[in-house]
Amino acid sequence: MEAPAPGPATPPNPVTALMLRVAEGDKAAFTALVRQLERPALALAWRTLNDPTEAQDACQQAFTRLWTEAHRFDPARGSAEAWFRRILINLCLDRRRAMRPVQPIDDAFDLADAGPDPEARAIASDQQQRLELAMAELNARQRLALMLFHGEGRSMAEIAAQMDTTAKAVEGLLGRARNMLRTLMNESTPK
Amino acid sequence: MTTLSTETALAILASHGADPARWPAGSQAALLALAGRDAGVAAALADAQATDVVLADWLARPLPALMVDAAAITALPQLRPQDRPQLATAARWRPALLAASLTLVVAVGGWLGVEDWFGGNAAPVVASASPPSAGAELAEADAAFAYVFTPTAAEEELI
Repeated sequence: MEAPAPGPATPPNPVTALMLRVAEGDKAAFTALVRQLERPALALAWRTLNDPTEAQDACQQAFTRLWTEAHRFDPARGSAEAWFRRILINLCLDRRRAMRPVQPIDDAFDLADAGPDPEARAIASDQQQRLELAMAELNARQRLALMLFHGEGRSMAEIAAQMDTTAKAVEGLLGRARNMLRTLMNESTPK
Repeated sequence: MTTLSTETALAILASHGADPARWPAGSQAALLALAGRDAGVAAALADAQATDVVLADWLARPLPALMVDAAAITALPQLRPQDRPQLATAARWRPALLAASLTLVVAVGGWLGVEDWFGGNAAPVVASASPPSAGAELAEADAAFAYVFTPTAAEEELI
């Protein structure tokens, strides 16, 4: 009996195709890859770490690893984007211990900056300030889970795979994060 | 329609929020119906909606002007699998190194510790530091041990 002829191989997605060129030392492909991945990566790192400088450092480090360790990428084990996200998430979570738990409030919330409706602006600013304080109180894993579920629309199973845990644990993490956020928003008093 | 307990409904709202599109498949109609007749579930749904609004505000914050420096990264050399052969070699020798370390610990422990454990200046019970010439009195295992780990003259003086 004759073996069936193999069908046409599925072409890799554009990011994976770029990554395969990066593994061969193609600098232009790497720059193109950075431009494709950096915005979502920075958004994820910034919301997880709650600090723009830390987020930029984490992204720079993740892309550096993508370049220097490019030979370790195996398209058979998943897309380049998924591989990069695992690197970035691990770096973000590794950084959380070294960070201050509460970030200073940004000067942008200065109430003296009166607009056409000072009262509405003051209320909005107060809400924004409460939100900043509350998000700073959550830990990085909680912020990451919130970002992945509500920001990126990922499923519990996808989040679990990216965070090296179970879907049930992600549900618990999200439940605690949302509960803590609600409590903090009701209790926190802007200074 | 799937039936849903109050506890399950509250758990879904707590973790998934108030958007039915994000609830587990098949639970939407049952949960909404339960919220219509259970005041506790209705209150939890309202709470979840308020938290969703807060999260939407958080997610809507504009991203600061950040950028990755690709040129600085490509100035670095790429690692190749053959760049780290010494690691592979070390991994191959790891069991042997572990065994050698354990042997050394046992030998040093035998030379330095046994005498104190078994009575200070009294004659050694285990002949770990005895030369092979005393083998007639030693058990076979101790003799072999002493043969392998016979101290030098300088070490004898230290002991």
